[in-house]
Amino acid sequence: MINFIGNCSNLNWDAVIADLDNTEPAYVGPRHKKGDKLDGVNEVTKLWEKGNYKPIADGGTLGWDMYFPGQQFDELVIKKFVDFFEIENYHTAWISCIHVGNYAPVHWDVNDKDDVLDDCVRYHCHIGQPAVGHIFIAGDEAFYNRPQGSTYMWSSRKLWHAGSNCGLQPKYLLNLW
Amino acid sequence: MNKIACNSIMLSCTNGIANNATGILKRATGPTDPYTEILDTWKTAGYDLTNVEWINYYPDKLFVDWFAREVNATPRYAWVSKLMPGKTAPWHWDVNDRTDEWLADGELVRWSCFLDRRKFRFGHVFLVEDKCYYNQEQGTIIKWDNWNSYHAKSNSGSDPFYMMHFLGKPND
Repeated sequence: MINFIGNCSNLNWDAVIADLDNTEPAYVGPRHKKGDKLDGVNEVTKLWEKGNYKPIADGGTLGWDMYFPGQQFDELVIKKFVDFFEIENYHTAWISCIHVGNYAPVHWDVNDKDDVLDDCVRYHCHIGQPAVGHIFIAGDEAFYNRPQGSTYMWSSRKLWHAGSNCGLQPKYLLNLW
Repeated sequence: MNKIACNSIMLSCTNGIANNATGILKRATGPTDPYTEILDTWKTAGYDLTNVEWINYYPDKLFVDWFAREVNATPRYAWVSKLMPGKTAPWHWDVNDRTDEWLADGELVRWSCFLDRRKFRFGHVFLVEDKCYYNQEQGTIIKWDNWNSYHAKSNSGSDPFYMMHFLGKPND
């Protein structure tokens, strides 16, 4: 289940994105691959194999940029975000970017420590201004043209989701759980 | 449209024609040609044009007439498009060399039908202007506000994404 919880308007998201536009990502996801000894990876990669997805580096469209607080962008962004929604604690946060024509295909976020981590709620925030072709899917819902700052809470961090960009500019999303 | 018709149409899609940047470029006649404008927009945005591709199929008259009865229109042009996972039909409008001829003969309306069965449609998204169609029931037909609206399609799932499109002249 996914619920709208408000619009995070205490941050200048355009400025955050402008900085990221000129910053090298920490890495281009996905970080895991078929055969990794980690629960969940194979059920995801099986679907990607069925869809014949190829990584960007191999001429395909599978890939997204990853940015982390305190590394590629200011930690204050996350502090303001959690303060705004009164989120008391969180495990991880990041901003993802999908460039035009690329995909974060159907998946759930498998974590290296999934064997010891409990499930928990997750949040996502549409930090970019609404733009043509920017699609985010979670569960049975597609999010499109959502106002900048719109934030949603997921009942589980393990929900299946996907992102794509058939528009004309990069698509940024803030994620936290 | 009923589910049997949808499944039959998809099964009939065997000899498709790939729509890709190379094909679009061949149709362009000059720098102000709409095909060229669309391609330039994609290039400027940064698309890897080798991954811009969707396959068109031209269904039998039986299926076109079936659709025409559903929407009560005289067919002008009908096709099925298939978008494979990871491929993209970026933001564009459908240029057709015969639209002036059709418009001279009356109104032109576009309808689209979602053909996929439920279990195969994760990630199948169709955008028309500011509308987003996702998780549509098999057989759902939408009528466009304008036949030449900008639209796009993406497939972040693991199965092909089928839709049937129909340009026609309303009978009433």
